[in-house]
Amino acid sequence: MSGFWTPLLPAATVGVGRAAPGRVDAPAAVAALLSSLDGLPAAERLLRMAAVLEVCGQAGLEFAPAPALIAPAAAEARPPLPTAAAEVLRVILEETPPRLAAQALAATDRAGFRLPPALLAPALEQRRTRPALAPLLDAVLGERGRWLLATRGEAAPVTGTDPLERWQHGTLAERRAALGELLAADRTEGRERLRAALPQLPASERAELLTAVVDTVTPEDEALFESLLKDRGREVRLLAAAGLQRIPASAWAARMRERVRALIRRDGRQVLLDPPAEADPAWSADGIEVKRPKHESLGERAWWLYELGRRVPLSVWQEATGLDATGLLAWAKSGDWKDALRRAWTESLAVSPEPAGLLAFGLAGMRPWQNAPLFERIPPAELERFWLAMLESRRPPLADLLAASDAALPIDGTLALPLAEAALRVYAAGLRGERRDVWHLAQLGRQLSILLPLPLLPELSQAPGLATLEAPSVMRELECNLNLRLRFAAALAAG
Amino acid sequence: MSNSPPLTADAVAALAPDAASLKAARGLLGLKGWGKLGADAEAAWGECQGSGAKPYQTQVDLRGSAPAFKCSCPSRKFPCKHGLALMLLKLQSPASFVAARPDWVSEWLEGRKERAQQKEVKQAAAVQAAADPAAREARLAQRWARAAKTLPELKRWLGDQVERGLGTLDAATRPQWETMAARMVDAQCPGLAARIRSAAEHLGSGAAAPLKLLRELGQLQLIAEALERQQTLTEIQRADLMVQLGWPTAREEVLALGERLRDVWTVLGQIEEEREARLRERRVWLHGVQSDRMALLIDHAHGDRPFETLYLTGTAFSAELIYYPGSAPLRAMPAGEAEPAPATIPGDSLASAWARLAARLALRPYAALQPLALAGARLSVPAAAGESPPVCLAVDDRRLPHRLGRLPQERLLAYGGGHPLRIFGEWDGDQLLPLSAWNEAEPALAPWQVQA
Repeated sequence: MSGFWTPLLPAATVGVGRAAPGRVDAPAAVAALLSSLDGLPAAERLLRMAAVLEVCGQAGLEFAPAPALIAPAAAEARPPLPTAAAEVLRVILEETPPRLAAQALAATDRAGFRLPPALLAPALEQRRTRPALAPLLDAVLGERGRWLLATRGEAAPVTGTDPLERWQHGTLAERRAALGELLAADRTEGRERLRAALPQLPASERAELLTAVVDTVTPEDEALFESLLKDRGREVRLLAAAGLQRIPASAWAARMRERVRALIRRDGRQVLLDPPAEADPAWSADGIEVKRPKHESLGERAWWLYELGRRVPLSVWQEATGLDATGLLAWAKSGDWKDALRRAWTESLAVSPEPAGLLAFGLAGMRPWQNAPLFERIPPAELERFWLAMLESRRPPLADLLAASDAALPIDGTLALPLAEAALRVYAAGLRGERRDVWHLAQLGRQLSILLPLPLLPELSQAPGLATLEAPSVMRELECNLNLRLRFAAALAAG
Repeated sequence: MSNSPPLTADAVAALAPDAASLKAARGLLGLKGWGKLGADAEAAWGECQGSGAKPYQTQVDLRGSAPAFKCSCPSRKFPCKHGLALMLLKLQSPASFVAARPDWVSEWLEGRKERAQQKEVKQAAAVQAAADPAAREARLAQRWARAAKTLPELKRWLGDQVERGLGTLDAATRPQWETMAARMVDAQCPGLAARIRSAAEHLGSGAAAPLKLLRELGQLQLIAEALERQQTLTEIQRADLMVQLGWPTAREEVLALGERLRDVWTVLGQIEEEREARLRERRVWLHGVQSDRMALLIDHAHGDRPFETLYLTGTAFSAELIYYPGSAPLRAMPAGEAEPAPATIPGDSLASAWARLAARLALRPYAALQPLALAGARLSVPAAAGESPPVCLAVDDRRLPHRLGRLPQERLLAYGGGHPLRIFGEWDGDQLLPLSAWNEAEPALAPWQVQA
């Protein structure tokens, strides 16, 4: 359209005194109308030409050809989620914690539905902001949703940009994430890339990147960690040792086992402990901190005992002493080195969790699981038995259970039924308790409203004493979670 | 495309004054809080337990083109969450609506009917007065005289701008243009003032500014010339010009002089926009099934106040409309009772849509928002990488410039899936703003709407 205007623009831009409007190449009728304006004063002529072109231009507007478009979405194989359920899912997606959204998406998938078109835009928004939901979302996007992803050039997974590219040119955080992907794709190649990059990096970056290997350690990483025990950076050396501690078959682990065994003597039925009297120069080479930190409450020998003791699994202590976990705790209590030993074992359990050890420590009031995501490394069935035993012992670390389960369960998971029932019993007892910590109970209730399996939700909502908890914002969330989960399930069943 | 008027959950959601109300309404969907739910062909009602001792009495009048709400709660939102929840409940659990119609519902329905009748009687008198041509002419004479007096100044100013050269004007010129706009307000031509002000937005907007300014000045020139010749114009052409000058048309005048048209009117689309000082303008576009005519209802409301009547896009009602006086009129107002009716969604080819637009321009050449109802429109992305713009609205193999925001565009992409759509929107002279769309392949899907 602007083509018609071009001859007018010089005059319009610099002023009619300096340039005259050119001839407009318009259809005959319009051209005739324009030429009837010849002879008018210049300003009026230009304004009138503009008036004519503005009206005729609109009436005769022609558009550019459209480019070839991508093919439309293919026919859907699944029916859309029924309207009532979709209404609830929209609220769940936009306003609840990821676990609730994940549960609802997984249920949608199990029931064989896809998201209706009206939910796709919010769903893709969630896919962007909560990448953990992506696999569950992708299962229910349907053809329409996949097509919508393609319109954004996002057909590949969100992390799909070339990790090598990000490893070579990314920021430190991007390189750390890219290294994780490279290691997952090809461990040896990923490790060699890291090894080649390390000499050029400052210590803090070496340490940051090394965590990607430590978090996903395999036996083949031993050589890399061994070489890094001599690194100039203290943090790097500590990480290398931490990596080796996670490879039970490593030479380093064998050396540590020997050192610990050497501290224990058995004299008939008596088990005796001889903490190191002096530091062995070889320790430093294995990443052990010989020098006791300032402000450390342990004495020097106790410190060395702790440093060595925490580097081996609890089983090494059990074999050397012939005691089980409960026996070890009693043994430590009777001796002079209680603090160092308990600290060492707690940390050892966090690195190499053993359900029996955890249970013994838990029953003794210790919580090796605090500050460590150790539950991911315990088989779910064992974990369940552990918590059941903990809950039945009337030492209810319900908050620990819920936090640990939240960390360990798959994103759409709920507590297994027997464990959930026990948790609910413990919670109900807490509600009936005399000195109630209202805010704490409300928080636990909120977590239960997310983690309990569906059949137990009515029982939670009717738990005596729940309604009287005065923590408005948390209780609102709790009610909202219960309400949404039950309504969604009902709507899904009805559809 | 034919749709019977389904009151879907989406349609109810579209009635919500804001997202918070809708969310609150969804929170009231448990049957627990409700009592005495009931419904018949004319209304639905129920009592909702609020925070007070006495439950709120919530009722919906279902007789008109769209539901009307009343609730005894103190909320200033309209409809309130209780009204919305009642409608959603009725869709969700119709079997629960069993209570007999209580007196408070009958009284309200009766009162509404009476008030409508009283209004009609009152209006009839005012309409009679407005119809007297001599009185009307006398009222307008002074306005025409004042406008004529300011005409030389306007023409001189227009001439000055193109003498100076539009390329020499920049943001610093704005105060001068604002002065001119103020002069137009003094001359009681607020329509001209508004045009000058909107043209001034382009001052200093870079290389494209001279073209944009020239187009705006061309439109002002058109109005100026019409004003110069106003005495030779027909009554209808003068009415068109009066709209351009920004002279309001009294309701009574519309009732007395406007063309009346009874038809089944499909609500094709609607949009609410904020004007200055918290004034909200709502435009509702209608299409007459038998007459194949378009109509535009414009309402205004202040702050949070509700619009008097609610319209549901994609539904239809049988009623009489009165067009405002003018050539190829679009603006209209409803007259009398409306009855629900089956909807028909029209859709033109690009060529015939443009033929209609051109025919309207031929009768009334002033720039205005033009309704476009297009069939077979596709919103999708080009197959070749790197094309710009990345999302393209194609109609009959032509690319139609559009101005959808990111989120509505994403929702429309999801709604269409690249399949042909029936799109209704407003053409502003440069771009189409789609207001609503229907998926031609899936007529059962509720329409997409730009404001949802």
